[in-house]
Amino acid sequence: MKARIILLVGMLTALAGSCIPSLFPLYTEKDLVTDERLEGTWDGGDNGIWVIERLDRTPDKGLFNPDWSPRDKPGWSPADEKKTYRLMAYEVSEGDTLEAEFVLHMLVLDGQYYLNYYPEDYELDHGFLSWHMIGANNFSKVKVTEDSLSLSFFDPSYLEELIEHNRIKISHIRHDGGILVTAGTKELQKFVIKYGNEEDAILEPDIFKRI
Amino acid sequence: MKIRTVLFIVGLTGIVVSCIPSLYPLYRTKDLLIDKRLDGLYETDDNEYWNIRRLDPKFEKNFSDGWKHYNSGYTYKLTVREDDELEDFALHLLKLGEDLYMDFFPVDYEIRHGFLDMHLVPTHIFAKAEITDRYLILHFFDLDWLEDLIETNRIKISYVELNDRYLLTAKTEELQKFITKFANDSTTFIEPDTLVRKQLEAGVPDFSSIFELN
Repeated sequence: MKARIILLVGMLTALAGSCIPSLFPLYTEKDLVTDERLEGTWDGGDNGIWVIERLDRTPDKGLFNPDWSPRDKPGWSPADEKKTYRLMAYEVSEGDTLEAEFVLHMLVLDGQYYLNYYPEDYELDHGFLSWHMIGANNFSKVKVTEDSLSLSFFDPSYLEELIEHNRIKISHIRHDGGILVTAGTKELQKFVIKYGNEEDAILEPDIFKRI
Repeated sequence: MKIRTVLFIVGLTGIVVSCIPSLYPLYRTKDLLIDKRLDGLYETDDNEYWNIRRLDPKFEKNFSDGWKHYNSGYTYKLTVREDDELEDFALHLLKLGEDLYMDFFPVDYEIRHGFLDMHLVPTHIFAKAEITDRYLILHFFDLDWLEDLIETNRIKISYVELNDRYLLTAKTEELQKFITKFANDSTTFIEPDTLVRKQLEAGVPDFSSIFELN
C-alpha cells in the first residue's frame, strides 16, 4: 500500500491556500450523515492520495485508534463515533512522502452535502514552530459517486471582497495575511447556506478518482 | 495533545513542553523595548541554537514579504535551529509592571504538507524573560495552570477550547491584565529555560554561518 501511494502521489498540492480556515466546525451533531461511498482510496492527482475510513471504535477492528478520544471532548457524544471518518492525506514534497491525519465529517445543510476537515495527528519538523500552530477547521461542498469525489472549496478572495465592501457580517479576524473565521457553528452555517450556491463564492472543484 | 506529537516535540525542543497560544499579541507598539544585551547567539540544553538580532526593516523587506509589517523599529528577528531545521520568529520585548516579557510569532514558516498547511494557524506565545550578559532565562506560561484556572472558574478571560488545548482569544489589553495579575504566582510558569550566550572567540566555530546571517 505504502509503495503504491508513493508512486501515485503528485509533486505539488493544488489545494494549498484555497480555503477559509475556521476556529469552529461547520457541523453540529444533528447535521452529520454518512455515505459508504466516501470510504476508500482516492487519487487527487496533484492533490495527492487520500485514504478515507469510517472510524470504528471497536478495539478489535483495525481502525481503532486510542488517540482519538471524542468521549473526552466537549460536545461529543457516543453517537458521533459512528459518523466520524479518518482521512489520511499523502503528499510528496522534494522526494519525501508526507502524511497527515484528519478528522472528517460529512454533513447536510439545506440539502447540500459538505465535508468538514480538522487536523488530528501530524508532525512538524520544528518543535518550537509546532507550539505556535493551532488546528483550524476547513470545509468544502462534496459530491461523491462510486468512482469520483468532487470537492468544491470556498474562495477566500470572495470572502475578502464581501468583508471589504461590508456586504457580510461574519465574525472573523485578519490574521497572518489572511482571514480567520471566528464565527460559531450557527453563524458559520448561515454563511455557508447563503453563499454555498453562489458561483463566484466557490472555487473550481478538485476531483479525486477512486483507486 | 496526542501522545505521538508530545513525544516528538519533547524530543526536539527542551525549551517548551507546554505553552499557551494566543490569537493576539501581548504587546502594543508603545509597550515595546530594545535591550542591546539581547542580540546574540544562544544555545539551549538540547544543542539547539537561537540567534537574535534586531530587525532592520528596510533590509529585510527586500527578501521577504513576511517581515514588511514589522516596521516599528522594535522587532527582533529570532532564528531557531533544531537539528537542520531553521525557522524564523518575530520577537518583541516589552515590560509589564516590573517584569520583562517576550512575544513570539512565526514568520515565513513552511509546512511542507500542503493540505495540512491549510489547517494550521500561527499564534502568539509569550514568556517572562530575564536578560543578563551571559544568559537568557525564559519562563513560559503553563498550559495546565491555565486549564485549572478555567475549569475552576477562577478566571475570566476570552478563550476557545480547541480539540487539544485552550486558545486565548482575548485582545491585547485583556491579555496584559491577565498576565500581570498572575506574574508573581509561582504556579503560573513551567520550569524556566536557560539559554547560554555563545562567546564567538578564537577557536570557537563561527555559529553565525549556521544561521546564514546577512
